[in-house]
Amino acid sequence: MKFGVIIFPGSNCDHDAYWTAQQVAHQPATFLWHDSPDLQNCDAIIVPGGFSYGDYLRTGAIARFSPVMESVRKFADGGGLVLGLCNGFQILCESGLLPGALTRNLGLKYICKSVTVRVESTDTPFTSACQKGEVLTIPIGHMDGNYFCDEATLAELNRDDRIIFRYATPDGQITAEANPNGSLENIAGICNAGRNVLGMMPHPERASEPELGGTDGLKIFASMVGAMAAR
Amino acid sequence: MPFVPIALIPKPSTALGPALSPLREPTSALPLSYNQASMKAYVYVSLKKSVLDPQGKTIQGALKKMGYQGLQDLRQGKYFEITLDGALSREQVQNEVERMAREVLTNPVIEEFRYSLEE
Repeated sequence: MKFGVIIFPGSNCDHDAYWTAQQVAHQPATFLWHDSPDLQNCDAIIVPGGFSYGDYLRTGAIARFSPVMESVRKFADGGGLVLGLCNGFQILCESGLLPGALTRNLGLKYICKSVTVRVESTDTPFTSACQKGEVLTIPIGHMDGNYFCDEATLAELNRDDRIIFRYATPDGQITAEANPNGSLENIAGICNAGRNVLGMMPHPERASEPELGGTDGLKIFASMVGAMAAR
Repeated sequence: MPFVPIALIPKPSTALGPALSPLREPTSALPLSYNQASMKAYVYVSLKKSVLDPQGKTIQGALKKMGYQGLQDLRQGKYFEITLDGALSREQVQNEVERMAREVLTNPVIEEFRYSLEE
């Protein structure tokens, strides 16, 4: 399974994602420069974290017009796996591949710390190796992670089991205290209607080796590898 | 560095491809000429009422603490001053400004805009 990691000007988690795919999940991986529409026959695309275009205007607002994103849209429409991490999640929302938007953290601070998220659905190629209700410890690092969408969209996400991760206490309770950024209903990650596009604010690539303090994030990569093998 | 007339310095290729209309380079090769008046557009972007504005709330709290009177509510937004080619008709300018605002300057999920023009 070949992973493609997009690099935008200002991406800074691209190498971490590439490393995790290649060195930890033992899959072929390649970088994809944002200015080329060529996805190089990758089986899964990672839209990595960072500060694409300096976060100017809004997070992800300019990156979504990069030539590669039109290819990503077609790839996603065809059922290809697209994983957006942090800034990648913001870009996927801006580009309309995922609904809603990520707004300024409620506390107005950049938050960089490990959080615990509860797996709300294992019915995605990104969480199939997890248990429903399992609590994963994965770091976040963002200023704009406050998930917002209108009521109709929120109802749809709930109805269709498309909220994949919620910020939770270590024992799996969804509380206001466990919500680091003010996200609606503690949302930390959602998927599209086709369940092949996932956006999440936590950084699984930063929690994929014991040396990094935890390996919970590797479950996302392992799920993807397993899902592709089963296809 | 030897003298190079500015017109001969190759333009850096734009990072954003030509396929996407909102960010492509202006199609008109004409520079703004001295006797051609330009038009200004002032675009105001604000968060929808249904969206929390923690920055606005913080500013409001600070102003209140400082003793300013009569403060009921405060919302923070963005402001863009855009200068447009005077060769465009007013209708074309309106069209372009609305497209820029709708497609790029705002995220319709959370923001709305209004604008005014000045000739």
